[in-house]
Amino acid sequence: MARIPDKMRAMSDDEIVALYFERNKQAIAETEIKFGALIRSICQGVLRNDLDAEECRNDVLFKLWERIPPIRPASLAAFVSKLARELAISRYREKTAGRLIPQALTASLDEIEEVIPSALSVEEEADARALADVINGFLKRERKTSRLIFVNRYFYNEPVSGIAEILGMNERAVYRELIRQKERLAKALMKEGYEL
Amino acid sequence: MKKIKNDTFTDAVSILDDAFLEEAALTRRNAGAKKRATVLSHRVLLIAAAAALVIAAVMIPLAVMMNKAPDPATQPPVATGSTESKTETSSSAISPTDDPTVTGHSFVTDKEPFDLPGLGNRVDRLIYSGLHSFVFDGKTYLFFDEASALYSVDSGEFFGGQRRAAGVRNGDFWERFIETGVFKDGYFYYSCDNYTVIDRDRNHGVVRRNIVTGEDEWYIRTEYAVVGMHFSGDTLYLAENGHFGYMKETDEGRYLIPTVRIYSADLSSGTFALLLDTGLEGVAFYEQNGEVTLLFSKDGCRYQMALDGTATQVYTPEPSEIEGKKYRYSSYNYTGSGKKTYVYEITENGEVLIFEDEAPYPQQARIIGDTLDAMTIYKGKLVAVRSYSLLLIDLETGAETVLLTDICHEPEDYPKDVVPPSLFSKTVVEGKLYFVDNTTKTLYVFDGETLIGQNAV
Repeated sequence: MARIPDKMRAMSDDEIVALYFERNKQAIAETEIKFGALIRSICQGVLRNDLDAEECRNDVLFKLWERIPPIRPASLAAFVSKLARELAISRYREKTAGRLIPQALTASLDEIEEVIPSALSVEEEADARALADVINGFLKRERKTSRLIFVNRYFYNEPVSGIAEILGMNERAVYRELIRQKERLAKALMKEGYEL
Repeated sequence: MKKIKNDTFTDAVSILDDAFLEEAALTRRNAGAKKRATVLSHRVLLIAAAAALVIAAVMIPLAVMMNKAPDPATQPPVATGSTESKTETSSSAISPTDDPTVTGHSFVTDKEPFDLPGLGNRVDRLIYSGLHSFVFDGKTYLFFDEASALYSVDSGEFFGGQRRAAGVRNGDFWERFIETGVFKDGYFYYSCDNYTVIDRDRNHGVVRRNIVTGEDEWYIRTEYAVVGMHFSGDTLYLAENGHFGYMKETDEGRYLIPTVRIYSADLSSGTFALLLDTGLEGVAFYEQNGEVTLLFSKDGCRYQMALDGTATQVYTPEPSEIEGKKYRYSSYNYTGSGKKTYVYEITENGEVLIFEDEAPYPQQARIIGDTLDAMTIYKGKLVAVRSYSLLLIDLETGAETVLLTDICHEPEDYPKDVVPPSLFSKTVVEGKLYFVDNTTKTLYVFDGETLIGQNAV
């Protein structure tokens, strides 16, 4: 069994991806070394539950193993981040959908509640892509700090205090920037025909 | 104007440009490293301050007592010893876990599969495959296959096992399947099939759990997966099945008939012996008047086989009964309902053949319903699923009562031309039927009158 040495320098992304292509299970350990904290924080940010986040982390590693190859990610950090978020959100939706089944249904036997489907329809996916294009365009025009605030807040679900810590700012400044950024984003969206 | 739903925004953010995510990931990683370095430097400062205080505390009295020559032999090494000790602590604080890039310590573990701590009192991950039950020391227990988790119906607590039957360990992905379980003298014996995805390493056998301590140990290792267990006195009978067999050719195509090995295991010594090695379908252990036999189905006929290998055809249906029918599976179920015991089998098109178990077994067959998937026979009624509804079917009249609707949806990848599979696991204990709907992760309890559902929370 492969063990992670006590002290180890993280491999480069290319080296890790190469391990996946060789079907060498050390790839999983190296991914964990380099991106374990990132995966955990994304899963925890969405799920807000240690045990769920831990299971989600396992799922992320398994999906990476399944998807690489054939996929050769240009950016492993982005690939891992997106995958973690996708799985965490999917798990979150499953959980909340499950909760929509009222206990009354099982007692009275005659009520039926629709369970919200977790998978995206083609239309929903197209809507999401169109909106993502607008947001990507908006972020390109933003200053780096603003962009980092946005991505940390909405992609990584980082609280304001966490963003302040990551960016070395005070919380009030982050909060103010988030408000201004929302206003700028609203304008950009309305310009593209979105109703707010 | 286009409206933005909350979900659309969430999904759009999920597919942001890779460059932005990489930029943020790098910033996060750097911030983590900086934070750890800061924490470390704070620690060093604190330790240095503490050491200075200790030195001062010793040096001042020493200065006061300068005129008194200390005896080196009796002088305790308070100052230097304490300082060294704290300095050591500070250097050992630079451990691999403080390195922001090394986060794999929870990932790598030498622990055995059954030693994982923390189950959490949730049922959503536990409800997936089988459900077993028994009564011990006046308390009713349910055993969830998925996580080999024991649940006390009386106290509502889970103990033993783990939260999930799959995960990452030692750099490999592992999964566990549990098929069956029986309780005997303070131990719950359950079949266990562990495998690792990358190494393709499989471990089969029977694990037994001490109900008092919650500890697990391998009781018997087998070559293939154990799919059936039955206790008779102190002897445990095992059916091993699944990964070997022979091909059978019919007009409809070829399919695999598994070869089943039957073992007997001595409870006290743990030794076991091969009793039978034969090709059977739908094997079930059946005990009548203290004699253990096997029941199985083949080509629409039912057989009873003694453990010396002698088989008797116990029921031959009329040709019209079996013509064109293929048995999806033979599922035997014995449920005392006061006077009678029933056995059922299911054909591929969902007809349920009911047999009344009267000596010599079985004598009568009746066909009930269609497109059914039977769960069990409970209090003289067949509990079955059809088109996402749970039905109670009277065995005498065939009258159907709908108990639940919109349940038991088949997995998305399940072939549409096949009768929906029963996703239920069920068990009867203390006069109550417990069952789960895996798709809604709901545990139900039915006492014949009232149905109560316990959603996963």
